[in-house]
Amino acid sequence: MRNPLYKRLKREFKSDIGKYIVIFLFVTIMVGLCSGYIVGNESMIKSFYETQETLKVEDGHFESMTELNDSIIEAAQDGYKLTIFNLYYKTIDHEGHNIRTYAKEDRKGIINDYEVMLGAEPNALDEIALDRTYCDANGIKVGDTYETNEGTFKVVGIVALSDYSALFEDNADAMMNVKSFSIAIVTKAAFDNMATDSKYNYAYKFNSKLSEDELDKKNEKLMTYLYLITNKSLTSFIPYKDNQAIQFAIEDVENDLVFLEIFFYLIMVGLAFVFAITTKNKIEQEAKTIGTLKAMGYTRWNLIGHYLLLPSLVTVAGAIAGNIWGYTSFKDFTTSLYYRSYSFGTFHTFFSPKAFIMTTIIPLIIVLLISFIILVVNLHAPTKVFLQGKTKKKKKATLRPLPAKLGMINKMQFRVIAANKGTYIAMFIGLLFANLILVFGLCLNPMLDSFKKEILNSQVAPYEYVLKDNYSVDNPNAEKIKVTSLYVGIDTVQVIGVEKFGSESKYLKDIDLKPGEVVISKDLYQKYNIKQGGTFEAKEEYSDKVYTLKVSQLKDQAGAFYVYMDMATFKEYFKGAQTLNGYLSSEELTEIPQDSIYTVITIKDLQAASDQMSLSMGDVFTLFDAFAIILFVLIIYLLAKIVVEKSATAIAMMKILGFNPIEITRAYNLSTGIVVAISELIAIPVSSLLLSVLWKAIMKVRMKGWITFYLAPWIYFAMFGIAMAAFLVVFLIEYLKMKKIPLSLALKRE
Amino acid sequence: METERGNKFIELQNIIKTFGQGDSQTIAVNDISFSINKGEVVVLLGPSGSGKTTLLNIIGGIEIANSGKIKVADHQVDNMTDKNAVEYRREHLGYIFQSYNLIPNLTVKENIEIGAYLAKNPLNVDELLKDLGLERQANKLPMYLSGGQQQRTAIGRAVAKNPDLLLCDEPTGALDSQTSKEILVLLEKVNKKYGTTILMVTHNELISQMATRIIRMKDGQIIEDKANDNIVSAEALEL
Repeated sequence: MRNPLYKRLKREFKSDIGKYIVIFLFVTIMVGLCSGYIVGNESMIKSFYETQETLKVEDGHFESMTELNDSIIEAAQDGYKLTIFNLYYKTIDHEGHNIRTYAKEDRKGIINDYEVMLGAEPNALDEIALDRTYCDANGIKVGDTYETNEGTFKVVGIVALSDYSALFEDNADAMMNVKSFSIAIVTKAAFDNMATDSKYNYAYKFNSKLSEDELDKKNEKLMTYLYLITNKSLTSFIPYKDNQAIQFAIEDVENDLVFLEIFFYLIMVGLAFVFAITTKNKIEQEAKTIGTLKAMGYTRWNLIGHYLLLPSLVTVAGAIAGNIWGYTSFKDFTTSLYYRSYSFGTFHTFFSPKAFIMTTIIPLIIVLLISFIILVVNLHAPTKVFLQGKTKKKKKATLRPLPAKLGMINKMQFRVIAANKGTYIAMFIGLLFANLILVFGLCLNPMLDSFKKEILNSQVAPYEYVLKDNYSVDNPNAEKIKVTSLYVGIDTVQVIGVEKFGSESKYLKDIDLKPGEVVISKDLYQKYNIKQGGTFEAKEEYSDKVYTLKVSQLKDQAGAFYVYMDMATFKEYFKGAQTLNGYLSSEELTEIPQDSIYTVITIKDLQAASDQMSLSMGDVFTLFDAFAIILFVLIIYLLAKIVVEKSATAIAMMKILGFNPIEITRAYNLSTGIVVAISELIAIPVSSLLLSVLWKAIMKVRMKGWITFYLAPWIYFAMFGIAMAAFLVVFLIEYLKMKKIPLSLALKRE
Repeated sequence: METERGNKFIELQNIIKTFGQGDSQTIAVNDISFSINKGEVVVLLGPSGSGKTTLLNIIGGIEIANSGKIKVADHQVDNMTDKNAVEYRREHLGYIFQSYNLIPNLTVKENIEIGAYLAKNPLNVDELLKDLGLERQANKLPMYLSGGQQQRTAIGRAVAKNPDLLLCDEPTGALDSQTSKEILVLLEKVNKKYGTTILMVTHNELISQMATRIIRMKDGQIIEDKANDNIVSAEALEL
């Protein structure tokens, strides 16, 4: 026979429809946003890597000052089992913008192919196709006229290039430049017609698939070979994995998921508490019914199954609705964020097993598990106890009297809080997680602002020149340096050899270098817990060579990982290694020829990194805030509802006795407000502390670079204000509901 | 059948109360009029379904009559705003129910204090606890008390505010005879000590012997309203 208890489900659902609608909506929104985000994110990553294959993206490229002759190319191709492609470009000018122009025929179907996102391929001499992000940033549309120093072109297409998902003009640049730099595609004939000199750029692709280790080794050997064979005319050599124009965008997309996963699991814990609270309350509300059913012979397991069914069904329904929403519309929001910053090609939606498991299977397991545990624990009492309307055998019979000075309403508030302490503890934990999400969302922008200020304050010199050659500068404001890079953990570290330091230097007054020892910057010692007097290991990029460096001093400098050593020590350490010359300067060194400059780092470049982080992650963090506020309202609403529902008869009795609505609401609803306020006062510092630990862990394990955790003081007040505003919304709802409790409720005889 | 005794404290005129609609409509109170003087102990007697509890609730402002007029002290009970209803209950009424209706998370003393809190001139709670014999239970939660102790607490709560009118709905309905007698003795004491008017609903003929006046009801109507010439003290009732 069908379990007759199933007949109760419909009635139970109707009687508690408000709660189930709230839970359904919450699950739908949560699953929708998260699945949409993950699907968008994963599909973008998958689409990216797929197009890297189909569009035949390079394994690397190099540039030479002179055109390579066929024998060099053939020797390299044969010796290293690869194919080298001519990918010459000409930098033309449009209103001061540098437009790196390639011939269509050099790329199409051969190497580093591209997608036409809008319009068509250039086919005539006066036709040009430009990068999409550049066009967006400059308001350029298909059909526009485009004036350049090489004549007037008609914009016929808007393209996304497989090797330029982020517009880095120079691989050494700290940030991409969509405003005044673009890639352009013209016909071969148009390219050859241009008077501008070609840059001898070559892309290469190994003939077979290689592992990462093999690639590293082959790249290293190839670079050395080319450097020597071209008689040191090689001006750049950039393997695929070091190419910022390819890697930067996709790394950013991949990093997004780190934060999203953390956020999602925080939400999950919040949801688990919501279910724990509502399940426990249901048992307390139905204690007598449970007692009757148990007395009739229903087992604890029958009842567990019964009380588990409805929350599970609501969660499944919410998860289904959320997935539909996520897959159909929210993923577009996620991808629009990426398209806004980067020049990705066409995106295809893929089914994501990860999204399905994370947003559907895991919530369902959490709901079932938490509800199951709560039910097992709370359905444990003997039948007699349930028949008495209780869920626990023993309860304290005598209470300590409250101070006589305390007003009656205050006494009632105290007793309401004490009687609902289990519910309120659950609320505190729920609010703690809501605060954690909120502070996560609120902290980013002020933290990046603080990071920018730190960079500004710790900039060594307004200009840091890194040169391709040994060009010598005779300027009293220029101090010579030597530069190389090493790896520490997952990060690239700039190693700088200096001739002047301490009182002799204009820029490095605060450091005192000892032979054989190094001074390291703040980000490096904070991220890798390096102590003064201690040592750390740094590795060369293309070899297994490891340096053990002794730290004599820690330098308060943020923004990048720097290791300073005196010039003699530098030369000793990096004898035979690839190093570059450079200068620190307070002014622009115009005497250095442009061809000699590898890169110039200014304050603008350093700030650009945090600007980009703001741009790419700002929306994710706004999402965190929105979710936290929803979670606040939800947790407080469900708890305030429970407190009022449990006290409905008492409230009706108080009305009969002559208490007015304000007094009753002070006694019952304001008790929840007091608990919310106290919870916030505890949860705000605790969640801030938890976040700082979490932030450092993410930075250490999952992210390149280091941003010092900083929480702006206003955030504490904002968090308290947001929580109390959420309470106020609930307070008004519950006040109206409380007013509607009929007096006759107190007259029902049990 | 109205009894004129002067100094009318409660006045009811043509009270009608129905429940339900159409074929399922029930007339709970059918055109009832009477008045009660201050200080009287009136028992509304009748079988289940006779309308006595509905009538008590109408007087208490818990239920609203379909038609008719009710005046209690200076309050026109049949036509009150929510605010006036709160004031009316707060100033004049004490309620005692068969199922006690104590606030479960407050101690015995605090339950009585909430009555005192509402009054301008409340009775001393500690004295009341002593009078009610609840001194030792003062800090206990209601669920750990016997039925009699719970009902005494409910009386304490109702009396602490020193009301003009005590409305008692089957106050001994859930109690054994000995405890019932103790409760009735208490009510009698309250009436005598504070001059509180008592309107008590019961189906127990024996209890009506302690009333100054007995109103019998059947099928929503008053079938008898008479002064009790042979009042028996609560102590002497043979329940």
